[in-house]
Amino acid sequence: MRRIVVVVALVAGCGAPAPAPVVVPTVAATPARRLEVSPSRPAESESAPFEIVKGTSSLCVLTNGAAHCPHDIAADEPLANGPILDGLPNVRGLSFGQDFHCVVTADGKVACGGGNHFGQLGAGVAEESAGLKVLPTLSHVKRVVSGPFTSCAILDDGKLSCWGKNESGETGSATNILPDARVVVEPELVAGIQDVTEVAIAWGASCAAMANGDVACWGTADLPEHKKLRGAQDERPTVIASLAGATSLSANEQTFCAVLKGKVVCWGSRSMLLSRGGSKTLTELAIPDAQRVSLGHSHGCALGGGGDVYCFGAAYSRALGVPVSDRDYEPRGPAKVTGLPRVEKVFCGASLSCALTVGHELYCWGRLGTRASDIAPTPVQMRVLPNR
Amino acid sequence: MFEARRRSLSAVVCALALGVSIVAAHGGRAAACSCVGPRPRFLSPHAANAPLNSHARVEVPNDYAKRTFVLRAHRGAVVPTRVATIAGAELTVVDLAPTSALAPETRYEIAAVDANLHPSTLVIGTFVTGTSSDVVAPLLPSLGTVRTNLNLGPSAGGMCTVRGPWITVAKSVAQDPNRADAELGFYVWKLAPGAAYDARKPPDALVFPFRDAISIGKTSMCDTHEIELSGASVDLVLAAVDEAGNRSPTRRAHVDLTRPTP
Repeated sequence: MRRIVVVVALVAGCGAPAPAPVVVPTVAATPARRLEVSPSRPAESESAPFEIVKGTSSLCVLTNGAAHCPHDIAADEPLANGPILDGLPNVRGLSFGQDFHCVVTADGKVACGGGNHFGQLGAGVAEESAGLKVLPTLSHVKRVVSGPFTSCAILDDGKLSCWGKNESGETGSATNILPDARVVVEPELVAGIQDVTEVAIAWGASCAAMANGDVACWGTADLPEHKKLRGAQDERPTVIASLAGATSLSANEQTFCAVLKGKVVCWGSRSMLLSRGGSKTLTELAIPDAQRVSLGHSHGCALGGGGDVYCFGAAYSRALGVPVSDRDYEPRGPAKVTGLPRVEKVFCGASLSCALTVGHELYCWGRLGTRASDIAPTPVQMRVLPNR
Repeated sequence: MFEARRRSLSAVVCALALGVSIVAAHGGRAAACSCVGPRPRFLSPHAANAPLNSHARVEVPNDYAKRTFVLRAHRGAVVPTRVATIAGAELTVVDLAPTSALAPETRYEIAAVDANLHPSTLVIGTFVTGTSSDVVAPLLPSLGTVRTNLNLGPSAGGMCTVRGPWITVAKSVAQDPNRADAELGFYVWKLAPGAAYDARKPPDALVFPFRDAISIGKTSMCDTHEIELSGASVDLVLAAVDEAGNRSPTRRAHVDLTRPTP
């Protein structure tokens, strides 16, 4: 296999419950280090000639139909110089689970490679596969999204098709297939939802946003209103009234977050959030005029209205954009990451955060590589494309 | 909830790696033992050319027994079957025998269904049929080496060990005369010493060999395949059984439970 993935157990925060954050602190951090800059700086009005995709332990850049995924990322080495994932020249999109990844090819098919204990390859194979296996029953795919061991494809017609681990109904299928029978795992359409615009997948639950503003969840019921309607777990998607209008859905193994009416709201486990204990309804994070949110394994970052980035979660992730001790297990509330130009998008990987500015500059902080010295506590500008 | 999920993840990881995780002792004192609970397991057939009269067999925790077990073609109809069960202390073996021949070269799956659950259907195993049925009984010319196992040393009860007794039957020469790759299991009947064997009585256990040996009784705290072995001795009657339910003639052994076999 090209990727060796270590499943990292999330460590719950310690100490007494803290009140919900009400003030947005600005952390005094060293300004972003400005390293070598690509001379080709696009105008702000243009779309970036690349797409950043968070990987399992790193990140990839998708440009000219190829996904470049360097094993370690370095500020002075363009990401696009990294090896091409699976050697594929015609990738339209990709996603990473805990031990596998999937790509959308130019012809709208999906192929997955890596671990297959739960049937996460979905391709009628019993073994894991170092190479990609095409899912024969899936086509017309617009985008693929992966959770820990489950994936969903948003189809061109707005429907959603999911496969992989389904212990709690997180694929939307009424059939849970044990590992002994994983060879029969294949994508199934999720009934009852349409015009899907986004999907986020956690360990045992999935949620999708639809074009009409509805957000539906299925699998383990993480919110009381969901549990009241469907019980502790149910594969049938249920529209969650309190999430109507939510966008920018993101999930890690245990927690979901989304942007709702200019606020970041989270549900599921709150071990990575400053607010713990109390009610199990939506937890609201104090981020002004929130636009987007992205979760890593134990932290998250959100984009505020002014193009500012705010990170929150476990300090030991080292990806909050501020210098912290890796022995600090207390979750931290949102704090502004200083030293960044105006940001357009944020991405969080396992222990890595990145921000793409409106000028298409990429800044990252957190664990950039596999060595202990590869940690950048504050933003470092990365090169994406080689000099032209 | 987080804790519950973490335990769930932990259980899966343990099952993937070892099946059992052991917490080591501190300072040489009595050790703790933690086990993954009983889980549904597909017993047979596993081969890609299963006989057309194969029984589908699974082993499930006893609380699954209220579910409906079905044998069905993959993406196809449910196959009529006769259902037999062998209930143990924690696990139940479910044996689905099709009432007519299965279709050749077809994938089948065995599932537990409960409409009140979501997801309602649990597919436990799958197999592919070959092109012919098997009506030939296996042979069991000898039981092989029958051993009584007892932990009598000072470590007995430490870690995940149990005192015993449990019985192992190794180097059995069971074979299927017409299929070298037959997946043979063993029906086990436990009798009081000297008691008559009643062929009409269902077996007390169905066990499959691991590394050419079968174990009867609880081999560790984590072994949920319990068959009570008490008293000074026991008589065991064994028959080899193939995927299609064909049984060999039985063999009987008298086993002393008071001392380990040297």
